[in-house]
Amino acid sequence: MQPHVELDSTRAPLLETGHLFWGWEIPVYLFLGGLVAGLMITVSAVILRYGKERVTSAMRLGLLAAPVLLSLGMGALFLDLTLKLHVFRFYLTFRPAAPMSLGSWVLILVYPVQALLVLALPWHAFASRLPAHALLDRVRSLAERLVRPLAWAGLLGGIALGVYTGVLLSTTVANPLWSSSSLGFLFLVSGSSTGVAALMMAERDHDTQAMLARADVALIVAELAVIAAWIIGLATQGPLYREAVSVVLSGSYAPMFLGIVVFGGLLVPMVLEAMALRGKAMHSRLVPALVLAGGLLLRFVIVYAGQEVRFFSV
Amino acid sequence: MRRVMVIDTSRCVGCEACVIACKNENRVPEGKYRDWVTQEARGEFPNLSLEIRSERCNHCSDAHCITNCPTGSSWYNDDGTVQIDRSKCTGCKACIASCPYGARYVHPDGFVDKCSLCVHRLDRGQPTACEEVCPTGAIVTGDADDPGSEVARLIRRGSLHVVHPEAATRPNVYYIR
Repeated sequence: MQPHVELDSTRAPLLETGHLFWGWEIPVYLFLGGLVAGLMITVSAVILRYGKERVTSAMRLGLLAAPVLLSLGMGALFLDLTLKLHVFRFYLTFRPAAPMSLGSWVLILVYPVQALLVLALPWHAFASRLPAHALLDRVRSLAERLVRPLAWAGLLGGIALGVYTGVLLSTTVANPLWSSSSLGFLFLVSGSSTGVAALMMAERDHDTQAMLARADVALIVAELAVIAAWIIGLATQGPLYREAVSVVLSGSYAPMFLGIVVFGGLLVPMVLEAMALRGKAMHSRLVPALVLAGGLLLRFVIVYAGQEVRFFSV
Repeated sequence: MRRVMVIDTSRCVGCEACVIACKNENRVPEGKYRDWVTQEARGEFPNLSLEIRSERCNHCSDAHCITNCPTGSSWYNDDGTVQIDRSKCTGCKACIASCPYGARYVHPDGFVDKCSLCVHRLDRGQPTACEEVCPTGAIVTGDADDPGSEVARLIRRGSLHVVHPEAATRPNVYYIR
């Protein structure tokens, strides 16, 4: 039998009011980072698998939006810093063991890849507004010739970005809910799924819409499996980890996690997309909207619920 | 040199003088703590036991806060203690997320702050503020590598434990039961 333990401490009143150190900025950044990773992975995969002729204008628009969305995410991260003037310190050092240092370099390195991909496959409305400039033309013709290597760089950069958003949380061992190697995979798969969903929102071509829907169903199935692995892995680690998991399974975050994230954001869109693929339902913008909302809320739930249970309680 | 702190919980009466002395010495802002006193009651009446601990940063030898700090703001001092370089801190709070003891907090001036083991005092040959003020002499700081030191003698005597050993951080603050 577990012995009965009661704790009291000088700082108990302080901790009772909550010990929240990361607010809305972090989940918003994790969502946008994952979304951009998903956009890069999807478009790169289409180029590598089917050639650049299969890249539709919706995908070109997605490529153009990626650096904008990533910058918004980095803006959210910047808002979270309590010593904003020291932000340059991230780029005066490289600490490979610190995921946040690694991630800040990944963020910088994916920008040129995105820019070159945009130049190689420009969105038509954007391309017509590009000024004629000798240097720009040379970079553009170079990028056009290097589309396949660029697609590989986009794929690897997207995977690094997607995995890192989860690893960032999982290396902070002090929070039992995040203490799982599954988080890296979960954020990669979820990010890819939101990237595909964002492209489905803009896609007009029916065949491409169906191709994206097939990919999304596969990604959602994988995401459900990784969520199960994450929960089961933690629940079998010990009392503290079980308590952390109970926050999302039966505690204050359970309605949001089980009801909105798992049911509304994964199961419902998975069934609707599978039905649409079999011709039993219409392809609808509602489905990718649900996936995107579910992806955003997943990150809110994980970041907030993870701060509920920590190693120390008083 | 490996500076450690050994705290005799059988001497501690939970007066919290260490908390006040630390706040005074290190100008710890209102509502924040570099050290705090935890009372842990175990068992069912009448078989009860009480342990009172003055807790703080454990100056871990495997400090997750240092591993996860993206700018190198948290670093190991030559004496093994964990220190913070305020000029490198961005306030990203990765270290706060990494500390299993909740020893770190965001200072109102933006940087992250925690117990420094009063190295500025130890280097001058003075005891830490908490050690100096402790009315029962429960707190002892010193060099564990020096076999003649008081802390080395207490460590040899045994019956020591650390807080949250399961966090695998190799803490350097020891408690005598």
